[in-house]
Amino acid sequence: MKKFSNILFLAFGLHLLISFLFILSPVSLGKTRVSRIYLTYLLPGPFFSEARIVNSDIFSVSWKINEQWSVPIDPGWEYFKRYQENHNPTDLYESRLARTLYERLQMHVLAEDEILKGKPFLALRKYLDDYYIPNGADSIKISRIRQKAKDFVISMDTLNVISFK
Amino acid sequence: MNLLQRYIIQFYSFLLKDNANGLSIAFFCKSLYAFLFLKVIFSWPVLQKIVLYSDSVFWDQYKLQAFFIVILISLLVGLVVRVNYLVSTIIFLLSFFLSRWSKPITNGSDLVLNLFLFISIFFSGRAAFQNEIQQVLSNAAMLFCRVQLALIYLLSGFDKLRSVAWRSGDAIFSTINLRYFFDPLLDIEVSKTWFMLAGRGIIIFELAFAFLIWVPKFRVPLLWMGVAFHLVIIFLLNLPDFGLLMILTYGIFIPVREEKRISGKIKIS
Repeated sequence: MKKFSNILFLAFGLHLLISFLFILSPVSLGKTRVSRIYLTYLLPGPFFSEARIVNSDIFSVSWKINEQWSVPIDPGWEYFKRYQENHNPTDLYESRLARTLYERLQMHVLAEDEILKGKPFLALRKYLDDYYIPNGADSIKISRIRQKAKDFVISMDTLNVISFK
Repeated sequence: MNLLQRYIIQFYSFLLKDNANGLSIAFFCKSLYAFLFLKVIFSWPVLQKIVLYSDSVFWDQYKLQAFFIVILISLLVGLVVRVNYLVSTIIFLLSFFLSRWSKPITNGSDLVLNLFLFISIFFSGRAAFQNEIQQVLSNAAMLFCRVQLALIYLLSGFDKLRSVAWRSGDAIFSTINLRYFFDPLLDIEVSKTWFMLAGRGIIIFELAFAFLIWVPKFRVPLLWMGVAFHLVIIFLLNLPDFGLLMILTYGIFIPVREEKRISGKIKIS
């Protein structure tokens, strides 16, 4: 039993040592697969790190029907507002799903033709067709605006738009 | 006696505690199971959509329904029966599988939940230990849970300490302007000084939690401060899952009766 306890003690010590290394100098152990797994599953966080809170991507979709563009809607935002009203966590999950479907397009990285050929676009298209876009719409437009909140100022950073039929 | 020897003695005395802490462990594990149960119920309609809008070839609606039934039954069993290795392992595996599959709607709380569910596999839910291995494993798991919780705060606190934006309070400004998180009906207009105080207060709290939680006289005040901190996250940042889970993990630190020490068994060679 003493041997087992000694092994546990060494394992604890090693874990603490590795964790402190990651915490004090996140790049010290490199970006290997092992370090990624360690950080993801054994040392979750850091939460609300600076890089993750500065930018918010705002997505919206509108469609043209009878030569008129609809008012743009943002499904993620609609669900979020609904959560504010009824506090049903399902609406928060819906909001996260809608945002993820948009974010997967990687509009800030990929060119429009690459986006339109990708699987994330097909998934989003199916989602929008199922829940939002009425039959007979002849054009659809998706836009992304990056809102930046930094140095105590809010600014609209970039804008991407893709249109398709 | 040097510092290292003192830590070694404390470590061994913790592992050899003969009080099985059955109630404390049951409270901790079952609160995690209840959390996961509610999460499955509330996220279920969305999980079905994830299957529809992902290119997964593995899932279809029948497998999905079967998974739903299996996980709910496992959690109900976990809530009713005494904490045991088999049910804890099954629940951890199902939760891990669920979070991998529901990635579009997961956040940090899922990683924290899976971490603690994994450690809880090694808990003994019995009122008295049956053998020494069970005793050492269960006590080590409890210590590991506490260490992990402290490390989570240390990681976040230290990351914020390094960040100019957190020290200046700019990060608080960024956070309250995060779309899809902060309550849009709330309009907070305060001076930069207040933002700075809030930012530094959070850094101090997170770092203090990591270190002072080990000091018995600070434990209860820190846990109450943590509850207040996470209630703000639940209600202002609209992250009920993350905030609630962090509060539930405090169960591992809830002071229990002073356990019987078996100091006589400890020998350091």
